[in-house]
Amino acid sequence: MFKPLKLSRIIPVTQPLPPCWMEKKEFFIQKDLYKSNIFCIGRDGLFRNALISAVDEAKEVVLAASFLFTDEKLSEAFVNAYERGVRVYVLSASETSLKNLGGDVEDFSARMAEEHAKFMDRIAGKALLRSAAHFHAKFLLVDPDYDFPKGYISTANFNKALTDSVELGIELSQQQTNELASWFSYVFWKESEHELLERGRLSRVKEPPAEPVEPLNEKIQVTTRNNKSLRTTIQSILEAAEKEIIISSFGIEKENLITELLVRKAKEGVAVTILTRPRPAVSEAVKLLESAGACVIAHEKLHAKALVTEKSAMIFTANIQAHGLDTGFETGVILSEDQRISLREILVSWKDIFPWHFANSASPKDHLGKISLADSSLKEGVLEVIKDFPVILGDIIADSVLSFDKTADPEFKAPHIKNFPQQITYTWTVKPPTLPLGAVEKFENYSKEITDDKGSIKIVTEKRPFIPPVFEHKGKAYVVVEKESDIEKATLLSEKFKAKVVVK
Amino acid sequence: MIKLKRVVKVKTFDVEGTVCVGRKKPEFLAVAQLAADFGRPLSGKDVAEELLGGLPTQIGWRVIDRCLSLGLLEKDNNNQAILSEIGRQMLEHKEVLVPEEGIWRFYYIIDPIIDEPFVHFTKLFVPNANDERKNLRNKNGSIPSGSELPENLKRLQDKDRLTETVKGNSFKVQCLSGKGEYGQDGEISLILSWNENELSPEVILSGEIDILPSRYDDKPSVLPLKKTIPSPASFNGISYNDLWCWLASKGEKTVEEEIITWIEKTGGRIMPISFSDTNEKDRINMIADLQIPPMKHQLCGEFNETSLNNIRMVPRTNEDAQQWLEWLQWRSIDAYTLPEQITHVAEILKEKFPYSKTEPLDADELLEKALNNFTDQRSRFLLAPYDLGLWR
Repeated sequence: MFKPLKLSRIIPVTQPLPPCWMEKKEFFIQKDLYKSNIFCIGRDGLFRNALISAVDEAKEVVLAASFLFTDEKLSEAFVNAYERGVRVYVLSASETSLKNLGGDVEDFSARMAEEHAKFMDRIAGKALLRSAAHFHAKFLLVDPDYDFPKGYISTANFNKALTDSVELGIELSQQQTNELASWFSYVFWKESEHELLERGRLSRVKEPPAEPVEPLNEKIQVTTRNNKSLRTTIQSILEAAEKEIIISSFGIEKENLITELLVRKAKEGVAVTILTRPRPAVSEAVKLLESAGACVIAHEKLHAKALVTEKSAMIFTANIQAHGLDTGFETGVILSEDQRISLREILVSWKDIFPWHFANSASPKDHLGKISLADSSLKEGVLEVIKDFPVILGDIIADSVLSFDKTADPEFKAPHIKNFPQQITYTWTVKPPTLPLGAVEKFENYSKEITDDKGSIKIVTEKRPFIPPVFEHKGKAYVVVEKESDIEKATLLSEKFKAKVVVK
Repeated sequence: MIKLKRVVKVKTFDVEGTVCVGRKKPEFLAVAQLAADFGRPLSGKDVAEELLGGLPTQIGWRVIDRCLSLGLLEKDNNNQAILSEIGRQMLEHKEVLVPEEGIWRFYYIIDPIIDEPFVHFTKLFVPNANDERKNLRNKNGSIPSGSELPENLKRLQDKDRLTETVKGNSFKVQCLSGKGEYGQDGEISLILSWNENELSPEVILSGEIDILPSRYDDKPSVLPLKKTIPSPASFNGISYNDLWCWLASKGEKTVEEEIITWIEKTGGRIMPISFSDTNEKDRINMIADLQIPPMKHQLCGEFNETSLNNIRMVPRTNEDAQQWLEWLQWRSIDAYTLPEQITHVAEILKEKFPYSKTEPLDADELLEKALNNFTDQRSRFLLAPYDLGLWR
């Protein structure tokens, strides 16, 4: 008769999500692309093949720089070139700097350092390799200052990134190639620390036989010990932007002039888009940029470094970090207008299809699906924004059968949830109170006339149960109802005895 | 310094005879000394008073008789005892040659540069006549008839006092039996050293000699030998230069006449050599150790292989010199270098060939060489500065 009442309440979650990367539904496949001498690196290895072909066609000299080398085909091409009588010169990171890389760099591991060492063994005595802790630039130059020079700047290291990462490459003009060759020579003599003499033997480099002349920055921008033209050029391009900035970088530091400039531009209303890799190392910077109004998009394999505004564009090798723009050996090239347009197309397409979108405090209702917290790596676990999180609350016992349907709601306390629900559905049951065990029925006295044997009428007092029955337990009174029709009388009895109306 | 060496045989010959052996006999030497001091014939009185503390004169005469029999004194025309020539020598050597009879073993060397062949002698111990016969009995059981005395031993009998090499003992062979037996040969080294500042070489005999017992309780033993012997007469008329040139010509790389010509041309002991005959170390230092195989000198005999050390070398021809200079130029490139440094080094290296006509390679020629020899590890020292902007 008096059945438990099942109730529920949906409470939308209004608390914003923590700073996080939100996964878009689109599926991104990196494809090879070559337009206006710009390579968008893909699995087909178009750019890698171009590098290998250039080395295969070298007649005199090959100059190669990369933070690390492990690409077997490319090193094989170096060895073949040497055997044809081509002089091969290589600049790479020192073994120490490779070992000191932190685990945050996901495209690099101890295995890669080992493979880099194998590369050094393979080319020892064949290529003249010099290294330094700060060498980070990636480029390949073939026969500079000869009749048919070729040159490429790559954002990818010369390893599996040439086919596996989201990277860019650019084929240089003759003038750019020759100018970059001058920078190679300058750094070779002035900034190298070690030279690979023979397999397994690196020796400290000595003073050059003559002081090299520092090249001019006409077509090529660099970071060297004395030249910060790469940073100043990026700054100038950003300063001149009035409508749009799209910048791509694997690393972005919060405390950096370029980052600060991007923040300012975003606040000034320039449409700033940041393309990066979702890593804890960039979290502080992207929080700052997003809060300033920048759109921050990421891909877990992005390593490309490029910049496009409505006026200019650059491809370069440095991250937006002090180690790259203030120190190190890095290089970059300003693009022609055709190239600017092509690069913009690439970066805009990336913006559209990259899987991760950063938000400092998104509302859960704006996203449904995977997220990754800004301060955690993707490896540490991707979380999820879910539609609903059901919470079953305990039963509620109503105070009285009389107020059964007016029982107060329970407390809706949000539970600890790993993921992020858009709403929480609480369900609970209200049950009527029951007669406590051991309650003793209470009877009422009443008088009635009786005629005895002698026929005389007498008034006697007798006991009879209340209807509905009333019980007593520990000084409290209870009226027990069984059916709806008992309610009216029970109400009266309840008032009379200050009793709680219960069921049996 | 010239150093030559060979092994020489030490022959032995055992023979019976009387040999005067130098002994320390101060009492008789005192008589000789007295005769020398007096400078006149000695009388028994002189000896008794001066040496015998006033004993009877007759005893003095007996002493004189003994000295006469030892040869210390001799009788003059007046039949008076005076100091003999041998006595003077004995006095000088403070030894008295005392005649002893027995079987003697003589150790001697027959060699063109050893003037005094007798290196040692020793008296053999023979216990009795029976043992002596057994010793002489050969394998067939017959007593050998013996060998003729070697010529040099025969000649010994005519000589006065001699000195053996091993211990420096004096001796004089008085008489030897006509026949004896050859003993077992030994070997020792003959070492000839000649410092270029010395007029003659030094010759040393070095090794060990097996010695037979001379007393019945002795055992066979080994006597070490290392003695400088007097400069050999065969070297009279041979200069250091003569021997050096002769040895250098035996080095199989040049002939004596050519060496002499170069010495006359340059005024120094110098070795003309073809570039192809030099090794890397010699090319750098232009000084070499010349290995000389075993050789035979007409006067001095055969010697083991040796070497002439630290010989200054010169290229034999202008072609050799040019090759050598170019080799040195290439060898000098041991760090990244520039044309002006190449020119500077070339001038210094050219001075190493004052007797030849040479033309060092210029920077472009060396660069060409580097390009053609790109696998040579030195090539990078030229190619890298050239390729990487320093070769302006």
